[in-house]
Amino acid sequence: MSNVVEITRVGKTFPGGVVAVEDVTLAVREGEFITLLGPSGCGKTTILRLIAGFERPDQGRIALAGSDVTDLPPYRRQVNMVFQDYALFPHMSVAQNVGYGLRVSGVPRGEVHVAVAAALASVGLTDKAERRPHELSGGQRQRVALARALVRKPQVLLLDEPLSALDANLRAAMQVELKHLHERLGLTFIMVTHDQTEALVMSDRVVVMQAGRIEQDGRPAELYERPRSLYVAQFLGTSNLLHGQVTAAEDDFAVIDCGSQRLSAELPDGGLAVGATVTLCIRPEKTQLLRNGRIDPAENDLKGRLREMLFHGSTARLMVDVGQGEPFAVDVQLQDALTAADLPKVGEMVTLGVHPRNVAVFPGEDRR
Amino acid sequence: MSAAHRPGPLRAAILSLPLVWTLAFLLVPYLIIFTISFYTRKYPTFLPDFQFGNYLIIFEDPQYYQVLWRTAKIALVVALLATLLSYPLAYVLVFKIRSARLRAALYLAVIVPLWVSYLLRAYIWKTILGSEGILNSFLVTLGLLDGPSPLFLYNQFAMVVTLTYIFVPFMVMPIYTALEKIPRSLLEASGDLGVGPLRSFLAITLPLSMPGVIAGVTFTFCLTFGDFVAPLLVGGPDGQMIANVIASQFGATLNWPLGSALSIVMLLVVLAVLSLSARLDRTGRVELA
Amino acid sequence: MLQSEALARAEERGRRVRLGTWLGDGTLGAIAACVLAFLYLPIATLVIFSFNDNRSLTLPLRGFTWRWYETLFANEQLLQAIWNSCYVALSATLLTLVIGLPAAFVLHRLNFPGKAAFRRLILLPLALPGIITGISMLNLFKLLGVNLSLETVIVGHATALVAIVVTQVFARLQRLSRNIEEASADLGARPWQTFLLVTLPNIRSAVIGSALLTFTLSFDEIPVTFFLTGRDNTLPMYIWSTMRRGITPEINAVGTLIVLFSAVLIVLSVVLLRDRRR
Repeated sequence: MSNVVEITRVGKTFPGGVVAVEDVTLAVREGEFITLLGPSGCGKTTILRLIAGFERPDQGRIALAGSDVTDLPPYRRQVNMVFQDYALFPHMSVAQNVGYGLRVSGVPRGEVHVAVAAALASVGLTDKAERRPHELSGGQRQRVALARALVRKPQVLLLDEPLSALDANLRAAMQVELKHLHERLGLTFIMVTHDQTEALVMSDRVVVMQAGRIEQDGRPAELYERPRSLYVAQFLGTSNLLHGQVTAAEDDFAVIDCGSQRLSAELPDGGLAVGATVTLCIRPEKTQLLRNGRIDPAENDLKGRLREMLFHGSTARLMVDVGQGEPFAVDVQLQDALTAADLPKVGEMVTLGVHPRNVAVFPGEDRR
Repeated sequence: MSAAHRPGPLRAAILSLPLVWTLAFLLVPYLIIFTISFYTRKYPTFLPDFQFGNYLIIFEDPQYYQVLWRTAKIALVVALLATLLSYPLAYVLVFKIRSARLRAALYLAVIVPLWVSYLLRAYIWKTILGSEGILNSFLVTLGLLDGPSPLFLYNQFAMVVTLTYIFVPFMVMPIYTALEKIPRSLLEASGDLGVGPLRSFLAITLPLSMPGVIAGVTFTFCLTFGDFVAPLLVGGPDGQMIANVIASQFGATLNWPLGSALSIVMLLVVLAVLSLSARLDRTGRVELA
Repeated sequence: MLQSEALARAEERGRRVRLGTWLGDGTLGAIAACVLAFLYLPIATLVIFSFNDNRSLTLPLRGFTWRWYETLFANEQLLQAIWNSCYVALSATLLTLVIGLPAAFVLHRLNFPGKAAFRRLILLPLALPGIITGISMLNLFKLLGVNLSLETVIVGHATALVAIVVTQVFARLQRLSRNIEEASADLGARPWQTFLLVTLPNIRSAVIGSALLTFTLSFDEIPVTFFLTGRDNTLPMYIWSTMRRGITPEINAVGTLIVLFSAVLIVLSVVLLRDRRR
């Protein structure tokens, strides 16, 4: 599998001194679904626009399918983009929108007609062919934008926050639909989003960005289970944070003193210095509510007072005050939401258990 | 147009056309008048020179500075009168007419007179205000006058009436636009907080509509200041404005240097008013969005 | 007992407020109606007198006649003047579009040294009395040895009126989302294709509106024309010279026709400009 997109040491600074992208190197493999994930301003959209050709990099080169396209204008690149607000031509019908790319390339009218009909059929909008964009719903407009981009059979499809303009319920359905579309077409998809759920559900690979740089790059499961920085750990999923000092570090385990609690964690690669200040990261679903003592003696136990219980339907999230920082979140499965007889009451002391291998250790203190 | 790629030579030519035109037909002509304003008059044309004589004449000879003063006064009066008349009209259109169709139709009705010949609209007042005109007939019929009065025409009163008439539609447009932009929610909030309609108007609507009023007043003042048609039609001997004086310098009097100097003075006055208005707009501006 | 008293008092207060609002609205409406009447009284006068069977423009009205219109259409000079005005207005409008459209794009999309000065210069004729534009261009033509003619009038009109196209198109460009132009480029359209197929159709309303306005203003233009006219007269210049000689009812007839023509133009512009998009 070759690299269809190669970004080498690319940097971009906007007038006014804003550094959007700094020294980014990224290779996208053919047929991948890769997502650039990060908060607004992290540079993800800039990279997308650099690939599309709407911006020129100040440093570095961009290559598509092996050839350098850094100096090529957007209309000469074999990539197509689905814009965040869809950018449908308001003065053209749906069919004219979809066929636009083919028409301007000189494709004969008959062929355009056929291709447009096929594209509209594939997104289920054949009956809307003569409508204007403003007559369509948000979801329909998005499908037109997709059809318009795909009808040209690009090497790479760029998606700029494709689901952000949709209603919440539609969004979940579209996540799955886009994933299926990708599998069916076999094209390379590069998506940009700030929503970590989207990134996790849809992508083969996720690239987390912060302040113009890449923080971590890997499969969704990898990023979720093995975050390499506090930033990534916090960006994906919920994290409980505890601050403390290392009191012992030997035999694959470290002991960290967090004030009122003491926890052991698996030593990260690279080890830890005794006395170092660290931040611990523990996921709610990896913590158990211990009712009758520890099941696994290797587990840590945290003691605290139950502050409140948030009902989530099939689960409940318990917020426990462990004597440091924010309340500690623990997710508990509910057999019967109505009775929940065996759950502790608010105000009671509870014991939480978490295995050392589920305690992620990061250097330094998180100053919020 | 992508900022990322240089425009080709054809595009560069098309884009520089307006620049070239502006230089050739706006900048250069102004520079020419400026230069000629320093020349000396030599009947029937003029000699190249560099002297301030023409400007001195303007400021020393009452024949000229009085006219300047009179013109400014009339322009100001017209601008204020037009505002007083246009504001209620615009206000009613924006806030009191519920039906969008009716509002559009009435707005068009206000704008239509603008598209009718200016010359004719001014001329009509000549017939209305004259000794044998409608106004006199009307007042005599009502018994308010014994006989037709020549007092309505060929003086500053007639000019102010005519010019106000011309500029009311001019003023309605920016005021209407400014009033339309005011979010109704602001007025609703004011009412909700217990403020009566008059106070709400004074505290919210009026200040927020100021940019439109300033724009209208500026235009009306500047254009009235330079008008020469109305004085010639209805102004009479004591109603001559500066534009008429300038016109005659290039006509019968053949004093191009003086005419140019007067033009420069007029240009400076207009520029001064424009920058004053721009400064007012900026400092007093309330951002609505 | 107490409740019903308070209720009655509140009702009374409400009645008073409503009466006050009603009076206030009534006065406001009356003023507005008066101003509107003030605007149309002279026009109505013009139209009425154009049909009045009386050489002098005084009351009482004498009777209906088509006489003045007949004289008008037999007037060779007048018809020639109308033709000249059409020629000038059409040419000037085309010229303003050719200069104004690129100018609006330049102001909206590009940055270059002297941009602010350029913008102020090109927009200056909007507020500047036409007499200055007329005189300054007269001097230019004199200096270059160019004879005054309808063509010099056209150049003068274009210079004075280009600001209208620039402001309207610029305002429209500001409201246009840049995304659709990027999408067009993304889909493979060359810059000229994007301009023709995407940009231009979306600023159509501004282009047509400003073109109509420019045509009308050029047709009626006086100060610039006054200084740049050669032997051929435009309609306003003809009417002007006729007026100097004395008031004639033919002028009323011309005026009424112009009112009709303007009304048609406005209706046309509204119909053409109805934004079919939203």
